[in-house]
Amino acid sequence: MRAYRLLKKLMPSSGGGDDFEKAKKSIRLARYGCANRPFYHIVVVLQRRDCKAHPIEQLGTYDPMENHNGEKLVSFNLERIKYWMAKKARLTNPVAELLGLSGFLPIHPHTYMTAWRNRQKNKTESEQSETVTN
Amino acid sequence: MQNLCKVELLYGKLLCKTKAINQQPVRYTRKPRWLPKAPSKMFRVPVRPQISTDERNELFRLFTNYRTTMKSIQKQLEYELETSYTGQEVLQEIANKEEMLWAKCMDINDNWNAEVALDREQRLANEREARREEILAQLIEKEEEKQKKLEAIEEIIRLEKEKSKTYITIENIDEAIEKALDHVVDHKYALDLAGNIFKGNDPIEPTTGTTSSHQLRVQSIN
Repeated sequence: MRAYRLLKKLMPSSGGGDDFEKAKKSIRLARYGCANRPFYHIVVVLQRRDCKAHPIEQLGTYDPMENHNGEKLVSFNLERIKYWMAKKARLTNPVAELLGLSGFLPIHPHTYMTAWRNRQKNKTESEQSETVTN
Repeated sequence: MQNLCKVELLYGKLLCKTKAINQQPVRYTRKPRWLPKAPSKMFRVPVRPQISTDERNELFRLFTNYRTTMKSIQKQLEYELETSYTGQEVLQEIANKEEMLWAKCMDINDNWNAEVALDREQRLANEREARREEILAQLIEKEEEKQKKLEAIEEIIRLEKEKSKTYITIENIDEAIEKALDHVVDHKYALDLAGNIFKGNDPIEPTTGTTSSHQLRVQSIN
């Protein structure tokens, strides 16, 4: 099975894709890394297009792998995000979470959920370890 | 997908000799829909997530709040975008800018008009002067022509006056008749090549010295 498709021409990942006035758009992550090294562009695309479609515009980047300071770097073009949100572009969950953590939007419930689950997990692990040591 | 494969094969055949430089492979890892479940996963039953009622209630509350806030944020952003185009202040600013631009344009226009007016006045004055001189020159020329004509007429009159001394009038007609009768002019004469005049009907002898051979020759020629 073929795991790639061929585009007829080279297209810039920074934007310039199809944009129709009345079509639904979404702001989402597009994976632009290679194998075992994820790297994401935050892009606005037509909602019915696939994950590798030519984006209308790039709105930022997200590097999910921690750097040597233990940071995950995100960049946003907030002005354009505001513009596209005003144009009723839908936010996908990961993007909404990132925007919530950056303080632009309210914190997404998923973030709270993962936080308390992680806390619960840590708590149970520590309890288990205490019982083992005792 | 199958169509895509066919298209790709076709293109591969067509482009087999040339290296595709302007083609971009896009990789993806999804399994196509028509492939069956993997044999190793055939009897796997996915575990349903266990969510307690407290957690569920909490999530419900959080999500409802989140949705509400997001709606209001969305409305606000839309309003901001709308007002950035059609807000009172923005429109006022645009109008002010246009007014400023208009004033600037009018200033430039006025300056140009003043310059052009100055030029035009100068030109018109020059033209007027030139016209005046032309008319003056024409007048002088006309005067001169008139003078010349008058002079010519005067000349004619003078000549006529001189001639008029010899005119035959009622007073001196008798004298003139007598004079004419006294001096009869005989115009009947012949000429030869040397210019000798032979008067009278019978040629006798030429008035000036000529030879008979001459006369003969003249006759023969005639």
